[in-house]
Amino acid sequence: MLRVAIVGCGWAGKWHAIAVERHTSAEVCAVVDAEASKAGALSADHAVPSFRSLNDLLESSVIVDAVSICTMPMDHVPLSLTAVRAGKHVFCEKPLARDTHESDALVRALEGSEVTFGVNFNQRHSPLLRSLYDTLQSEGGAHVIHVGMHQQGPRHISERVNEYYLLTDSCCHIIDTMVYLNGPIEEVHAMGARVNSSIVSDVAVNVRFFDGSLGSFEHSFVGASKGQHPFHILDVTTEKARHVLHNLYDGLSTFAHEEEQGVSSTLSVFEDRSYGDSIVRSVHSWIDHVERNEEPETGLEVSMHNVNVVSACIESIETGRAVRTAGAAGNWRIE
Amino acid sequence: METIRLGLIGFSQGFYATTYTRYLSRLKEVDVVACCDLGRPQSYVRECAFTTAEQFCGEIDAAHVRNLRELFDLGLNAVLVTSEVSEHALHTIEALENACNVFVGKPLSFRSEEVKSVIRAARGRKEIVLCGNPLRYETGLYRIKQRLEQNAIGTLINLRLMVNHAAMVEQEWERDPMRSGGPLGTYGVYLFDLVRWLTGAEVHELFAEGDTFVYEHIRSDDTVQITGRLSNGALLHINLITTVTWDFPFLILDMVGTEGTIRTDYPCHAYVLQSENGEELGGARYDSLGAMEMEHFVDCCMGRTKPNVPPEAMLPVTRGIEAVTASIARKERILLPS
Repeated sequence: MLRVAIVGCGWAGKWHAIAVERHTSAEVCAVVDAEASKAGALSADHAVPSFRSLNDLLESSVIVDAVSICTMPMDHVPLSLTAVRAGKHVFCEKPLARDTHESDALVRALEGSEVTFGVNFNQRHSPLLRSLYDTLQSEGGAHVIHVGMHQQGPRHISERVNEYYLLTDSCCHIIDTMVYLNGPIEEVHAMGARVNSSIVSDVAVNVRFFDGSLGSFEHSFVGASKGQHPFHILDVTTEKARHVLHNLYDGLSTFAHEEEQGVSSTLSVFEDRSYGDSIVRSVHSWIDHVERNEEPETGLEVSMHNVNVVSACIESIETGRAVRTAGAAGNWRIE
Repeated sequence: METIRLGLIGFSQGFYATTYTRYLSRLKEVDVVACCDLGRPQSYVRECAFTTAEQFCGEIDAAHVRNLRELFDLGLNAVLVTSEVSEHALHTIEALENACNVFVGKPLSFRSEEVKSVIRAARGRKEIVLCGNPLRYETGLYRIKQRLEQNAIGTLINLRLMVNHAAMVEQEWERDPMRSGGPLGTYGVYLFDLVRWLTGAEVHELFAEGDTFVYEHIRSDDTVQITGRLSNGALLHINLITTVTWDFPFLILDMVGTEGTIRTDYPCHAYVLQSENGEELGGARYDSLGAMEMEHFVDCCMGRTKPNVPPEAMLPVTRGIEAVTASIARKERILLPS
């Protein structure tokens, strides 16, 4: 039984704990949060001890095999380092880091380590997105991918929010989805805007993948006020068809070039179809890889690539130029 | 003018040539006098229009002529120009000089210098030039424009336009980008004219990438992707995809404003507008775009209205196309003239 400690007891932490408990080979062994009320609530839910810091937990008598890090992003690398150095497997919420300098020490710590390290990019665990991935393999890959994501988000710089928070903390999901479907990104050209905001609140990004295909994405924290714009739209064209994924879970429409009728797939009403469910699937995938002692699907390589793409987007916004991503050597593809 | 004495110039844009002329031939105010095949061989006309010039003229009871001098000698006061795109400007100017009102099939041109020459030729004349863009007559898009003008989604901050249409590759002239403009030249009018018409803003800067995924033989990018910024500060995304063979939905529009969103939803609705005030669904699209475009041309010829797509509206289009081409070639962000 894998004994997993949940570090960070907010919304994500609750879902990570639920996921661990639902897995047949894992259990929650402790929870950690600097805020006693949050730690207390999750501790009560799962009947496990609570701690104010990860160090407190590691110095205690509680047996811990793995740590699920669900704190704010600026704490991801320091907490991951602490856990890795203590020999614990780690599953860290996205993003791994806000820039590559931040993550260098972690990369070094993981070299030669037997720790299984993964990052939670849960959007790629939508069953419909998985189905689309399979389809793209059979259709020879994408020619062009567009992803749009719109949600309300912070507009002003604070202790937790930097100027490029939209890119570092939110666009990393979009980037991972594109990388999942189509492989690594070679080059980006980004434009940003500040709409009633002291941070970059909107971005529009052109993408070229290593395999030569094209992509684009847009993201806004400001749009739509309380209007219910579809949270997520994904549009892919291949040699065989155009596919549209609605809101990750709502439906997948396929317009095959050679057939004049569209086909829509939806999930069964008996299937979990919430955003939280994608976190459960993602956590389970990581636990399965820990059990098999294999590199997780969203391990260090993919996660670092995603950080590199974000850094390239920021550089592009600041310079007005197309920027090649660093560190993605060759045309690897995630299987 | 009591009757429009109309001539057709060229069968290269076969769809427009035949469907538009057929439609006009049924209107009481229009007398289709003649069709000119510009001396092109029967095989060329058949390839472009799925008929011969003689057969088509017989069908609509019009004279068949082989050159423009013969055509203008018949005393026309209006023409449809549906020749090869690279000939449009020349034929439009020649028609104006022969006192004809002109409808010119989409696009007027893909070169700014040609558009400027048409603007100069039309200046000070009583004859009008109406440039083709059927989407200007689409009810749902027109209603979207109205709702934007009524501030229904607040300040526009993000616009995505996707045009999804098979590349024109059937005819030899269409495969030659110098004669047709390639996919970008062909559909650029949809991209840039629609953005400008809907938002009332100009494209201020853009970065573009393009590639050829399917149609290697057209010697032009079949997929183009553009990121940009409008003069009002809104971010812009344009995807042009011509590698499809089934072009549904032909167009996707998605606009995000500070107070709401509006987007096309063609499998179900002409558009969906969402804001704090609730949802609004666009009604059924019941108009024949081509018929409305031709009826507008008739109204313009009869002096009842002014062209809603004059040559001046095509200058931002060609500048956009040229900026995209330059950006792809130089891998640079391009600033457009204000």
